[in-house]
Amino acid sequence: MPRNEYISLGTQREQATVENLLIEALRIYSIECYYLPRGIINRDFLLNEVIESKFDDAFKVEMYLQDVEAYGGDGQFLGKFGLEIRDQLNLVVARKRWDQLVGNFNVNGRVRPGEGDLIYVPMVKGLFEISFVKGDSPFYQLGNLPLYTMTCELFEYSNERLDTNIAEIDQVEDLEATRIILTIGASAITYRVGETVSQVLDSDTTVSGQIASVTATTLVVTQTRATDSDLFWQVTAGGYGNAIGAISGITSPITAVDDIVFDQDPLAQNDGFESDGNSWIDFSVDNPFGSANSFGE
Amino acid sequence: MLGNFFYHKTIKRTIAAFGTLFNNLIVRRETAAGAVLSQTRVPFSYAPRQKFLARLDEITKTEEQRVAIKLPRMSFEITGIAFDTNSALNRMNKRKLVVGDTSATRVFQSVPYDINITLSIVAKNQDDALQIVEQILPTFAPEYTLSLKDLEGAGSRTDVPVILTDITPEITYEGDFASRGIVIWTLSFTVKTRFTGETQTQGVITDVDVDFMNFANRDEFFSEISIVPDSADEAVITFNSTNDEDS
Repeated sequence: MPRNEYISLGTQREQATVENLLIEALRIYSIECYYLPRGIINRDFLLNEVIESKFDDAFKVEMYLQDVEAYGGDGQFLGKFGLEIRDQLNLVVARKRWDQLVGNFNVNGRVRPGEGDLIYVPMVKGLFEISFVKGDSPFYQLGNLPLYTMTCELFEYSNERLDTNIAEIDQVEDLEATRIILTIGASAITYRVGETVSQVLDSDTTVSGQIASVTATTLVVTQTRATDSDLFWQVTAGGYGNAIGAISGITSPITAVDDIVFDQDPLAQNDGFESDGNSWIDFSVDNPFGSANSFGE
Repeated sequence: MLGNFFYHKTIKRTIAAFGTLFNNLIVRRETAAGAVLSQTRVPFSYAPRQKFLARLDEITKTEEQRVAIKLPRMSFEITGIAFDTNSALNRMNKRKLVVGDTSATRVFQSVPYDINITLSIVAKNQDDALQIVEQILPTFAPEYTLSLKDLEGAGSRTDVPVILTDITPEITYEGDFASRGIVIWTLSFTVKTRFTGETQTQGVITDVDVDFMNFANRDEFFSEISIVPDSADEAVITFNSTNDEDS
């Protein structure tokens, strides 16, 4: 036998002792984070990408922040697409604790921290996406692998659904998701923030969304979905029904629809281009090659 | 510089007109059955901006910044301007703008230039970017012509072709897992616009007298034609001849 059998690299008891010491240290020096497993709603098997995701669960887990001086990554910079924030974090979690607090619930089939899952760090109010999980550091010191080290970067939001019931996490969706303003009238204030509001358009089509905020006369709705691709929110008339709150039970007619506004995106100039362009483009000329501002309509 | 101050905002108008072309693109995510999961109007901006202004605009969000960037997005910027020799006309041509009783404004022939513009599309998914690109491409064959007001002086209408010259996808997927994947499509356009110089004012010829005589003997007078407006209020461009052969 080539190896000395009287010297061990770690018995199970030694491994468990060291692992428990690591966990104790992590629970002292770590910060509390929320772990959000990604749920895949629609996957494109041709282009090999996830079209639509949802994050319905958030598990509180202690994680050690490896970066002690500042974020990693490129930080904040002004690019051609506006202000981008390329912050990175390295977070360490004990394998045993992750199994206890997340893995045991078998959400979305996770048996280990997964790339693409999210971690919300309340201390910095940042939502981070796991880009890589390193499971072999420290490398078999006692013959086991007690830690996961997760490289995370600030999340690029693209209309993902966040319904965790943790207000500060769900608020990301309220602020960043595509917003539509429905003018309801005096009864708008009686709808509940967070509830689903829907409108029946015809026998095949119901459009629904989540109320992000209410004013006296308007509902700001995010995450609009529709059972048919041709119709969206409509002013109540004829066959187009009222806006119905799923929890509050309120039903009121929609008097105006402000379709997809950019009040939370100060860099978007869509409406500014249109107002300037309309005064300089001659729409009266019958242009055989088409008319401006017609894309997507 | 020769002449007096003038500024017709030609490039600003081109930017606004170009922006209007692409300000209403939609990205929609659907299930296989056709139900809509989400629909987004793609945020669009002119890329160059003052740095401090970008920070100030985002300051409320930056203090509680929760995400890196919101996608998909589009932006564009001017990458170059070059003289268009193929469209150049005689520079001595003049265009009358406003003609009054005693004076008229005019501009010399506008000068053609090509403005090169790069439109960039960034998305999280290839499918989002493809939706945007496929809404753009059918309109450009490879040009799309806008009719712009007042480009060659007040009251003018100028056809400005916008030509799609190049399309470059950049889909970065190789490399280590710690670096981001990138889906960026870059579309290059040439906008054939025209720059106009100073608007000048000149007097208007309000009446014309023509004398006919013997060139060899200038004392020998044949006849005279006098051309004057019918009235002081009459526009001078509607002269009536009062030629009287007997006079």
